[in-house]
Amino acid sequence: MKIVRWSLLLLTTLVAACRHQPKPLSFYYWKTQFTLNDYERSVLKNNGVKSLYVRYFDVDLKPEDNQPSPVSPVHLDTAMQGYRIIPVVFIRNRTFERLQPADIPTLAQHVFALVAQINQSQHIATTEIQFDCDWTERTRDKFFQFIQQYRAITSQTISSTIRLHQIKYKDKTGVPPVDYGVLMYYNMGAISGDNTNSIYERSVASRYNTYIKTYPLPMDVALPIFSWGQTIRNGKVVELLNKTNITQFENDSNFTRLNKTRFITKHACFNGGYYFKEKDEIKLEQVSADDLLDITTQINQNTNHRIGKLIFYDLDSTNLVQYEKDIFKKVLNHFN
Amino acid sequence: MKKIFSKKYLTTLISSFTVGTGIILACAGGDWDDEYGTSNFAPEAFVDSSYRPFFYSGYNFYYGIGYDMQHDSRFNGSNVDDWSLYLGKEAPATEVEFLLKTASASSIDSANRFLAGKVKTLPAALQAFRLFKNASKQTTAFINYLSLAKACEDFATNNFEYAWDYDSKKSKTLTVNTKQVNEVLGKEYNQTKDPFLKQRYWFQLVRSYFYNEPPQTAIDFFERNQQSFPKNELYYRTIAYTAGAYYKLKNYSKANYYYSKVYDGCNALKTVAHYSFHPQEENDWKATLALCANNEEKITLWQMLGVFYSDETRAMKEIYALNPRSEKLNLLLTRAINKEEVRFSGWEPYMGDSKFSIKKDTLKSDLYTLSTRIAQAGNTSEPWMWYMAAGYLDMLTGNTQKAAASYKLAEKKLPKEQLAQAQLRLLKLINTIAGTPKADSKFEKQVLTDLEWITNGTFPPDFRRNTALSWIRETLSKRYKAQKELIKAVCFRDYNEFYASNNNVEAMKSFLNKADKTPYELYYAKLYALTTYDLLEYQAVNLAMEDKLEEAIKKLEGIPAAEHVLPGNPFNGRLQDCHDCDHEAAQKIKYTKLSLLKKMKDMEDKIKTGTEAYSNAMLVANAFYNITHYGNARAFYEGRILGEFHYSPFSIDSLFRGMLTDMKMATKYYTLALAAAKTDEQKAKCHFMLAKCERNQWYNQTFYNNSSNEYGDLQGQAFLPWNGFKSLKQYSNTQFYKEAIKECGYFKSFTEK
Repeated sequence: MKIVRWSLLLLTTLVAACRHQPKPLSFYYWKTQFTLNDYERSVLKNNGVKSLYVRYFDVDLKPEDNQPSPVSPVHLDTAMQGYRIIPVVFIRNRTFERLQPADIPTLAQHVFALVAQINQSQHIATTEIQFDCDWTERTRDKFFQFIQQYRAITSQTISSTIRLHQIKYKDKTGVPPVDYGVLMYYNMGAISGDNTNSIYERSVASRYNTYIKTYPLPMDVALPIFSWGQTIRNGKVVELLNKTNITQFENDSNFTRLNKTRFITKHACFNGGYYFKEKDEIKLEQVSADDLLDITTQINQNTNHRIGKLIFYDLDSTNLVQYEKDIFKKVLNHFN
Repeated sequence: MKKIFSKKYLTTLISSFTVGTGIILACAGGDWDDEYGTSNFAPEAFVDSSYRPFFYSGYNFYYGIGYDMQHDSRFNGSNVDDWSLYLGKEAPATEVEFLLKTASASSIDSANRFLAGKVKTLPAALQAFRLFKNASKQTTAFINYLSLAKACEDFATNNFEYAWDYDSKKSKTLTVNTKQVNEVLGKEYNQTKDPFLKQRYWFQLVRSYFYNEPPQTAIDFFERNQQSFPKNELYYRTIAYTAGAYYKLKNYSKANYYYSKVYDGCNALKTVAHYSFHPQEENDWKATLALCANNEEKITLWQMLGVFYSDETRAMKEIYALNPRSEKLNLLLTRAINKEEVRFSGWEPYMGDSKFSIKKDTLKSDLYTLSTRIAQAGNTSEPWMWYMAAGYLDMLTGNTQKAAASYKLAEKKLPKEQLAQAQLRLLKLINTIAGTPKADSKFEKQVLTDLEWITNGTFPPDFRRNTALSWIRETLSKRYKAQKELIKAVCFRDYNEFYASNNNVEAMKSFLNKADKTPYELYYAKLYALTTYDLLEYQAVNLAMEDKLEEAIKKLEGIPAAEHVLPGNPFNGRLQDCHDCDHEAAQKIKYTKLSLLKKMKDMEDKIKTGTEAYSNAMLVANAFYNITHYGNARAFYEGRILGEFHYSPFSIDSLFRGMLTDMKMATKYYTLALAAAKTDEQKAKCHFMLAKCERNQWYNQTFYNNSSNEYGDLQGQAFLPWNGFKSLKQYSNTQFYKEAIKECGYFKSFTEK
């Protein structure tokens, strides 16, 4: 059954490639309240987006708990009707660190039931699911067993995100028993406050590129369009500033610009819901349009044209406005 | 009570695609054993216990409690107390508690109808209740209120029972008609003349409006009536919901202002105010400050900023300028000091815990400048605390004279509390030790009483002494080592190099046995964890490894370790070592450490006289092989100095690794056996055993001698044609040779080359 499904996917990909048709494009939706503003709607329409990967909830096994529980389930609204929705469930790796193997079937059932309940709230049906877990050598067996348990409950297509280190060290971290993987082509550097970009850094990517070709799963690829900041205090990163960009700081007289991507706090203050101490440095990271094209080149060179579709992370007008409107088409055209 | 305003309303979420800041913050803290890590400064000595969750913690979100898990249960106790007081002495507290916490909404409804005369019987569970026998006016009012309050639980409490239920997570469909409930609550509020009941109905209405009506409705109802009520716990519960309503309207300045009132006015809600307080932009913060009616309110806000956003020094500056005598400085100061201690702590591998160190540092931090300034001004409500803090900061950077002066000033104003007294005594002791470069007899006399106290004394709760004790032992050990007073050095902190010299071991034995120890000698002798027996055992192992069996036997005789039974037969010699097989095999004679040595000695005597020289030499060789790390009788050498449970030669202290892995004695006796061997079978066996020794020795000299190989790959090492293998080839006709081919893959591949 699995082989048939893989072959179908491969076939579809091949046929699409032969005809030089543009590949499909999709987005991750990662906020807890699903709602689309006009700008987001227009981007989806202009790029012919049919499917969306929507984060449904996280699963975590908190230190004070004995059993895993869902975290912040999404609140859907009617805006998502009209799109094919692929639920994404993020499972914190520490869940599998402590979860007993005997409790894995229950977790699979809980996840399945909660996805169904969320679907029911908007009267939609989904036929696919994606699991996002930064699994490691230590947790791989339990994560893979979880996927198998999930498969025992439903015949839905199951995919999983794959991080670059999991590609490179596949002998140690294993290959998950899923129908396809989504290669997360970002978050490759350490968040160290140094001068490299932790979202995308070409030199870091090159350490992993050669391993992509031989990874034994059909693959989609996820590309970063988000930006964030880091607060650096006494040389250490002390906070991540989610959805933060340069304009927030360049118009605030409490900050002095050090260079293209860095500011220093002149006077302690609040900005964007965060507090900055005097002398805190802020490093802002984003991926430029040129970087996105460069990433596409890397993928073209290293993947044997085996990538199914591009999925951008994440759909949010605060990210989208950082780029020209035609960026997604440009990237797609550059992609072969 | 439900969490007032959960951050789940924030629409963005950090999860898989970013890295949570919690991780970074947690890692930045360093390694921790205790919750407070490496610390000599107990906030409990300086700060009111209502602030306890906000004391600096190495890794917990809240000090002492970890997390706030009381969202639905925070007021259970005070509810029972309040109602019991209202109902009077006659009301049994257990019944009040049952009605408030356990009874279902429907049974309370039935009781309410019973008291109103609408039904004749009470629900079964309540029939025996004394409260309902000739129920008072208060009881009737209580049950009437409770029937409405239970209805409100539908929207006001979380369903934590079943986390996987989506309905409990989203804005759930309510089973109560909130319009109707609000109407009845409003009617009761207006009608009742009883101030206790009136305030409770007011609370219920504000909360219900917060959940079910536009936020402004809750705000208006609160603001219109708040002057009429006392500032009790219920008042702060009500204002907390009003703060949440302002937050919903994005009026952050007012929301945060109200949260600051909650934080300051109600200890039970301090953590709630903490996770709800959240200025967005600098203007919100400035506007919140502008709302303050007086300096004390501003001080509360600055304390919140300093604690919640980790800017203690800025907050202290602001508060000090507003009111130098404010007690709100205390929490900030202890947090700042505890955080500063992290800069002076590090990992101490020998003790397996973290330790602090005093580092010369001329860079004066903002905290140092500020606390010194405040200490010198002497105008706070607790000057002793500032003297102590300033002194500690001076001491941490090696300025012990200035520190001593500050401690002296602190002493003059020190309160009588035991913890404060112990705190100062500890800091002074550290300072004296840090400030005295030579540990001579004068110094020893000076510190002995305090040393005995810190080591063996009794202490008030929350006193932090472990870091200091560890530092004192380490520091004095090093100082005595530098002064070449090695007995003292090893007593203060045991270290293996000491045992490399037999003279040291002998000196230690004499010291331990010395009858007329001085008080200081008695003190440090007690610090030393080992006994004369441990030293004798260690000497015996050393002698045995050098084949000085007679002397070794003398050391062992009469000490408990002599009777320690070895797990396998130490005279076994295998083609392939298998300790588990030897340990499991049935044994006619069990050997102890002592009986093994005696048996070996007998055999050696026979070798000397030529009695069954081959077999005796073979057995002695096997025994020498087995008492090394490679053999089945490692237990022979395991002890308190040499260590135990060595999973590889790397886990043996490098100082002892050579002795415990050396094959020289095994080789000597296998060689003797070979010389005495008569048959080819015997010779073949000797050659094979010598090959084993040669192989082990090769690993000792090329692999285990370099600790960088510890996490390397043993399999990657070359296989070498051992001399023993080469010699063995000539005995291919023997049975032993065939066995060796079968059992030993290395030998097999060697013969095939």
